[in-house]
Amino acid sequence: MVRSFKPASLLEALHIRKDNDVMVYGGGSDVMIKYRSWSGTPAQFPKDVLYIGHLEELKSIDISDSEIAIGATVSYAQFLQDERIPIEYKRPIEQIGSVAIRNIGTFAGNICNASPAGDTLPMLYALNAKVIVMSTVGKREFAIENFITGPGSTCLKNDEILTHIIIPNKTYSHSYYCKVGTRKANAISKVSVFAIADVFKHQVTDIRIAIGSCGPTVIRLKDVEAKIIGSKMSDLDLMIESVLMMVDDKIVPIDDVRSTKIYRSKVALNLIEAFLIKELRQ
Amino acid sequence: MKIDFVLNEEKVSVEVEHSNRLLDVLRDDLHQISVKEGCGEGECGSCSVLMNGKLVNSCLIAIASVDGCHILTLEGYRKTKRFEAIRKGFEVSGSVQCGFCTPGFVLAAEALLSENPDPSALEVMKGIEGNLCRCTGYQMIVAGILEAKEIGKGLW
Repeated sequence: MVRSFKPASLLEALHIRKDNDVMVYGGGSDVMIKYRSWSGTPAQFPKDVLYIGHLEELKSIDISDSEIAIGATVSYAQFLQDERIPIEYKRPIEQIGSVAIRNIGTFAGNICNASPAGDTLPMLYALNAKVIVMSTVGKREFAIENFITGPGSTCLKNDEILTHIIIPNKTYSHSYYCKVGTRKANAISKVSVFAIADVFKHQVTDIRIAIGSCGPTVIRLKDVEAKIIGSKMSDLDLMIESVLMMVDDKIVPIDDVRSTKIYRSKVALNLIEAFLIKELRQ
Repeated sequence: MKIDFVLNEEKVSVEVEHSNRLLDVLRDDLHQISVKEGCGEGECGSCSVLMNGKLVNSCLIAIASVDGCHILTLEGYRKTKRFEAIRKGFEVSGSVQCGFCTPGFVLAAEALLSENPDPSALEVMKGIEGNLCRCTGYQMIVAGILEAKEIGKGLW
């Protein structure tokens, strides 16, 4: 039977992580399903478990004029209840799971789980979020898109713990989020799109678009963004066809239990068209 | 390992594996049989309990993370006036058919009403989004919670 560790502080947790081969347990909503066994029996964790969900040091959201730093054990519910956080950042989070899931699930868990369908990820990619990881010897900082290397894999080393997620404290003239799943609650997305833009005097001055569940990782459409930035709103109608072709080239959806390649492509393009043609006008 | 926590306002102590699910500890060790296992993966809400006042799926909680927490199950909640209001609301609205999902819905209703004592029908639907019922078609449960908020006015 695997052992368990319940440290009293982050420092103690980092030492346990360094001296033992342990997996990290935050809220539990992913790992308890991944390692569930028969009814009435314990979850079959593959190695010793380091419980960190109770660590107060990682339970705060620190906000400065320029940045929002989210601690690793901050639940989605805590994030949603925080009145200082811009509303556009809350939209994807309030659609995650259900009330009960949002009470235990965390950004850090969603990132380390590194699913292409992770519901926080399109937003974090679009916001150029940074991830802070710590070990006993110091800390490293990554851009989210460099931190996640493939389905289920990240740059996190065995002696490190993801401690904070940093996003800009900023609002945008336009924001958009749409998640398509089988059910409104508790659905794993088939396709999701998060986008933000700034439009000033009918000109797009900034735009960022990220798509979930359409490739091995969440995909950020940087060449599409570069093409659109600087354009007049009136030019978007003319550009839309070539933009959608670029998107189609960039995404690599697959057939799986939740959906099909064809459906995913079609819906992803429809959502991006809806954002560029309808939402940006409002 | 030994886990100490507060169950329905009484201190309890259990000797279990750290990765046991809260669901199993509640049912098998502490005889809280209102807590039902439906899907076992956080989708149906039948195993809902309140942990430090917040709704959680007890199938997704390893018992090690419960040490020192307050857990409320329907066995404890049914002794309260708030429960009486929800019971009456459910009774007059026909919110219960087979009853398997009901403990989860009652606790989801409590979690909702304690945060928002005067929810709209839409807010009630959002509050019970994580609970599945295969009998009622949900309309009667939504009606039951709306009825309960009137019957129990001032309790939340």
